[in-house]
Amino acid sequence: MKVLVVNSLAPFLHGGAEELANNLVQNLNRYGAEAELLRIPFSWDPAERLLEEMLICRQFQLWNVDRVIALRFPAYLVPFQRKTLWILHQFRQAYDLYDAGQSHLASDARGTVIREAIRTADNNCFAEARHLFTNSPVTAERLKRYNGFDSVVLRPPLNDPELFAGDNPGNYIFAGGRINSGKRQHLLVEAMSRVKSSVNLVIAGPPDQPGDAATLRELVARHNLGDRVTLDLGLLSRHKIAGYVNGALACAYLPFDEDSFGYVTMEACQAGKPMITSSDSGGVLDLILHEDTGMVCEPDAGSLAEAIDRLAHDRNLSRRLGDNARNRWLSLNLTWERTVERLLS
Amino acid sequence: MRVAICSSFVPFIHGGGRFIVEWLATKLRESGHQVEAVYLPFVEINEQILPQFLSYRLMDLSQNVDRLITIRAPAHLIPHPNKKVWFIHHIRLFYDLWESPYRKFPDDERHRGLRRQIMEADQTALREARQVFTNSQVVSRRLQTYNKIESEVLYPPLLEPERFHCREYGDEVVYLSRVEHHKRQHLLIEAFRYVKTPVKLRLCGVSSNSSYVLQLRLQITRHQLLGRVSFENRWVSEEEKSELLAGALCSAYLPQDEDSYGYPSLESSSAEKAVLTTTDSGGVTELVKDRYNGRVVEPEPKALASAIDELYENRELARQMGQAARLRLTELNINWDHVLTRLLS
Amino acid sequence: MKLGWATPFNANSAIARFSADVTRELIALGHEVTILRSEVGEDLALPPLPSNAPIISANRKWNADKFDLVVINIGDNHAYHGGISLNAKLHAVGIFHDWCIVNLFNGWLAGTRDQFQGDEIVRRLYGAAVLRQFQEASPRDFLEIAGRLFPMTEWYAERLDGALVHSDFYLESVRSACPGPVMRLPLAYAGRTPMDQSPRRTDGLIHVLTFGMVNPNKRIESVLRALAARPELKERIAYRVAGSVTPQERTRLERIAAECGVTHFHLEGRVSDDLLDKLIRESDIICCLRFPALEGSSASVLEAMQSGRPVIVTDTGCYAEIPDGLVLKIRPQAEISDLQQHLFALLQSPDERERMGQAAALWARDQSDPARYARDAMAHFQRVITTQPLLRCAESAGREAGLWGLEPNDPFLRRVATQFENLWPKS
Repeated sequence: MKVLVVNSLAPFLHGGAEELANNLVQNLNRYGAEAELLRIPFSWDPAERLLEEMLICRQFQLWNVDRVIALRFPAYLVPFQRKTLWILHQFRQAYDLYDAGQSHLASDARGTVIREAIRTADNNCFAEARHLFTNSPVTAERLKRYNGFDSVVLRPPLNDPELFAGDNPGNYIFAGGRINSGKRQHLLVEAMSRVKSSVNLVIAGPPDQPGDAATLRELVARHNLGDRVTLDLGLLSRHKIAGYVNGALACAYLPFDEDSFGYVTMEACQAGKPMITSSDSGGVLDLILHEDTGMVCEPDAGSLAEAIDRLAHDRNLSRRLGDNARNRWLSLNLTWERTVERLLS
Repeated sequence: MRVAICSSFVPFIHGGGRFIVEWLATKLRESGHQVEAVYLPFVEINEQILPQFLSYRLMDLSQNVDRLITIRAPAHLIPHPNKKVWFIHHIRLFYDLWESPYRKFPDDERHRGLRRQIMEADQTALREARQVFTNSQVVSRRLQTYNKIESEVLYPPLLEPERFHCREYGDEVVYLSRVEHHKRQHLLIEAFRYVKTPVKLRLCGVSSNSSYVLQLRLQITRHQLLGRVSFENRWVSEEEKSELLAGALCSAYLPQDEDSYGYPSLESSSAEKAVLTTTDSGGVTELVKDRYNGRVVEPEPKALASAIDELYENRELARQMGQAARLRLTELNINWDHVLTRLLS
Repeated sequence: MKLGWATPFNANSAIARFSADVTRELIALGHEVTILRSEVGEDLALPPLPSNAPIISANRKWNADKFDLVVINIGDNHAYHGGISLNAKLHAVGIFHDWCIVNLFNGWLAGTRDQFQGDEIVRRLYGAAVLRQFQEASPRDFLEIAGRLFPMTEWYAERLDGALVHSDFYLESVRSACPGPVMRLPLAYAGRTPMDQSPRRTDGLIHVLTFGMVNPNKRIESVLRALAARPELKERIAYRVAGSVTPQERTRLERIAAECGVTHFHLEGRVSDDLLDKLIRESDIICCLRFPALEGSSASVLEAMQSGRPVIVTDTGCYAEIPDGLVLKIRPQAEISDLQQHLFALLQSPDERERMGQAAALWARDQSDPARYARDAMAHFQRVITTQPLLRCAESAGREAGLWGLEPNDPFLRRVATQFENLWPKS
């Protein structure tokens, strides 16, 4: 079966969606299909451009393709009989970000015309789809609320679960993932200034902006935590990251209102490590339950420090939570093989 | 620089255009540039041609892209202030193949109207480019004839010519290319009915045409050439190609009227082996000059046989031509430094 | 080229005669022509003009693939032109013989039985204020107001892939509505053989003739009042009108003549071609007034001028484009006084009548070559065919935008149109 994965492309900006598209193609090829990736350039500024972008996609034609799996606006508008949509996100500026006042679409008559055009094009596309999958409950809820369509939540799996086999717990908390103010790694640094046990903290990952790295370094310096907190900032290899996870006592991930589990969470669970998170971390809490598969704290340094100390002092607890986390995660059977199977059904 | 390479493609069909894009991207990255290789669909359905042209035309790559290099038509329609076109072929049915049996639609007013619009769009878009390059003189001539556009020939090099080397001038003529009717493996097999020396022939390559493959096998059997002609219908790895060329007497590459010289000719030249071709092979004759770096003979089995016998009996001649073949690549500037200089200046 | 030529094709229609002449020339140029009769109702049963081309009814909805191009001759007469199904897009080129086609519009509207659709079209083209006028105008003033405010040219032009117009004054309005190329081409009208000069009547009166269907826009009433205003005119001019006339209109005009004291006034009614020739031969002056001037170009005035008689016209529409000195022009806002002046001057000077008549005939003869028209029209048709793939492409973009709820005049579509012009500058 010839499967074309269709995604939007913002030239030279590569994020999670690009990674996912690449992994999807790889895994489609691995599990029985012949797959390729179509990336359609997308330029969304100024808002008027959105109309051109939609027309561009609508006038393309696809030939020599058996199935299409489309991931994002506006690429998913490309005409094809009965596409499978795996919506990573719609064009949020026309929907929830508009409502939150964070959109570049004006709230005047013209802005409304454009938003309505997007909504209509979206609705027509969704109505004709063979399958409507979304990547998280949040995306599914938005799709239902704004467009009235039901969808099946199909979470993106871990790309390389075999790397996260887990190992004996060491003496550090590991905080992975992108570094920015929304991910709130700074709270962990502050927590470390209150931690009583001798456990350390390793923060590793790519900062979104140079300023994000500077903030953390400053914070470590200010609290004199240079010997307790390791900052390994930048784009690290998967092996390096797996190494940090596998050898950790526990992992920490406390983003503000995340849409879904987050790869950091999945990696920790796969490796059987308990996870420290926050009560306002959104989708992470679908997997991490307090004192079951991890520790759910208040988003403040004190609460986090307490949780860190508990896990450090009570190794039985941390082992039990870690095992639960791994079992819980595996029971979801969130693998690429299963994902491909569902996408091609 | 942030360079976008844009080309049209047909999903799951991998032709020469793809290698140019991928290899150019590799070389640009090696030189420190950031590269996005963008493939956009294009289907030659008459009623859809102009709407798809419009899609290409509406594309906005001005943000984030410093330099646009377009390859396969109609990618050159994409507007950009810094556009260079490396033109590999027209939509030939509307150009030089208009008078051929390949055109299945009538030569009536309506289709002539479409033809005029295609030509006009091509001309407008090509004129905008800072420079237009082609992959052969054949294509340059066509651009001049049909679109009144001046262009510079920029020969596409191999990705890793250093893989190829010469070990000896052995007893075998090799033809390492896709096995298709227009590549005319059957002509070469026919020639082997008339060779007088013990020279052998090795044909290797994949095919999209199983009946042609069968035809070749029957031909070999019918003329009792099984002892001299080896035919392997399979994909050949780079290592294998290199090995086979290293020990060959010479190579053959004799497609019917092909625009470009073809990678097999370059591979052979890089391995210091003469190329045997015919007068009607098209672009190959830009590379191969008779008795300089190969033989260019009439497309007749006996003429081919005679040329092969001569090389078999005169290894010194084979060696001289082989060396000249390598030199020719330098003469024609077939290297990536030259390509990058021309495309990025 | 294979052309479908949609036209009325009965002997009473000037456009039919034009079509017969031009298609004959097109066939002589080597093209294949099929006549698609556009009459409806009983007029479709009228015998066709003689022609070498096959003749079928346009009602049968021609198969577009049979023809390289379809040409539609457009006139303001539903009985003659209503046989064309007015789809949103006609993929054809139109020849606008009439510029004001409000009667055709109303005939079409009656057939759709959807008055709201008609109102919506008028409102979209001309605005809410004009729509009110459309709805409220009295039958008597309707045509005059239509000419000023809602000629409906655009309603037809926007459905076409290209158009030909016969005069400059309505070129821009067709061009603004028609998505394809529009060109002005002077009407060729072979008309009648030129006639000699000498009047035949010996009654000592100067004969003024008006011919054509009698309706208010021919300004017959104004002529009567002009004659009435000066004793010399009343006594020495005989005014004849040849053309079909309703009993009510006859009564009305004869009453006005009687009231004004114009005795030398004769309504002939509908006349045969031969009788009309005789009347023209017997006339000294032809009065070819129009207000409003609905036609794109006037076959009647060409006929009048070809006859070698001095012609008086209204200074409006296509008549205004006739070179000065070849005809006498009256201002629409000063009809009666200008008429008086011109008639009196012509009355006084037989030499002037002769000079003007000769000059007019020479010019009109130059206009009369259908072979020229056929050749120039073909060049334009070629242009239209070449542009058609672009129009289809534009329509597909428009359709897509329409699916998103965008209006046809959305700035987005204008931007797309600019891209078209940018990529295809010659078209």
